[in-house]
Amino acid sequence: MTNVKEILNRLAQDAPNSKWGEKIEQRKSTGGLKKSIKIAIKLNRILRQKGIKQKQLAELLGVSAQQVNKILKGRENLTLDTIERIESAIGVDLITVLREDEKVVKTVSGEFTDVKSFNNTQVLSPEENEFDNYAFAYANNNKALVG
Amino acid sequence: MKIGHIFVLRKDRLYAVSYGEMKDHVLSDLYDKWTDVQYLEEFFNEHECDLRTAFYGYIGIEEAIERTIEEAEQLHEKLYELAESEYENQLDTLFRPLNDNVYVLENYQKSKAKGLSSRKSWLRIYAVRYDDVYVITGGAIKLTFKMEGRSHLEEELKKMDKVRDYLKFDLNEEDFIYTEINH
Repeated sequence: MTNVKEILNRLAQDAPNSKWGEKIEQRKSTGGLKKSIKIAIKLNRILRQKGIKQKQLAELLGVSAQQVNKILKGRENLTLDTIERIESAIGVDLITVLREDEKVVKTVSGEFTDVKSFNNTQVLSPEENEFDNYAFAYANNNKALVG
Repeated sequence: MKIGHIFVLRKDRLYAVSYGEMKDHVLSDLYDKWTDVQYLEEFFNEHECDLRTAFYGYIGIEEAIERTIEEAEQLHEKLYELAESEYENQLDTLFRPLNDNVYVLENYQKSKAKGLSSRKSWLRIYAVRYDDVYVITGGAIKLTFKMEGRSHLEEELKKMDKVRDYLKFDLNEEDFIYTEINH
């Protein structure tokens, strides 16, 4: 057998430049994408439920279709301003800031559960955010707020 | 599916192929797909039955998307880190033979790297191993115990066979032609 490494290295000279390493480094340096990804997941679901196309959302927001595509793929580090603009455009809250006496309840079955009945629910700790006195949580359709 | 290019990710250590007219290699393509909310939503909708089996426990599509992106980032970062490591043979800590009953490392061996989560991970990066070199052939979200019976996983088996045969047979021929022309 000839030297596999040598031949691979020779063949690789013809390959175009790869962006793999660059993409990894770039993503590592982008903080806060986790929250943006959660919002993107929810936004995709809402758009589907409301029958709003990407192009329509772009028009409502006054941005390019490429920009909306980036948001929906979870690749845009969303600012509060952008989130508020999207919320106004689609008429749905994407994030909710809880008061001190509010909690998030996630239904285990995936179906809405009356807040008085905790048989099949689990209470989740509100996710912390940069505002000390507030809990920051995602008001997914399968979550109910209780006081 | 024809092999397009061979990319060197780390000389004498890690390589990846592209197929057909792909502009970047399979690893880069996997990274794009596994961090793309829309792609993952479509994938998990298509494979929802597999997702909801006892193999991974009950899990919804939205949680599956979040989990995939988080694990994909970890796995790719680790692979990148090991490939760039100053120490030799670090990739052997990430890859293992494709067949779970094989414990000996061999040349032209079909190999896999699993997601690094402490939970059971469904992410797989596939490669063919030669000496201490790994050539990445593809990867998949593996929701079932076996690869057989799911077209996207069977496709990965074919890719591994193709690259293995390429390294084993075609590369010798390539070298022979190169030698004939240049000497």
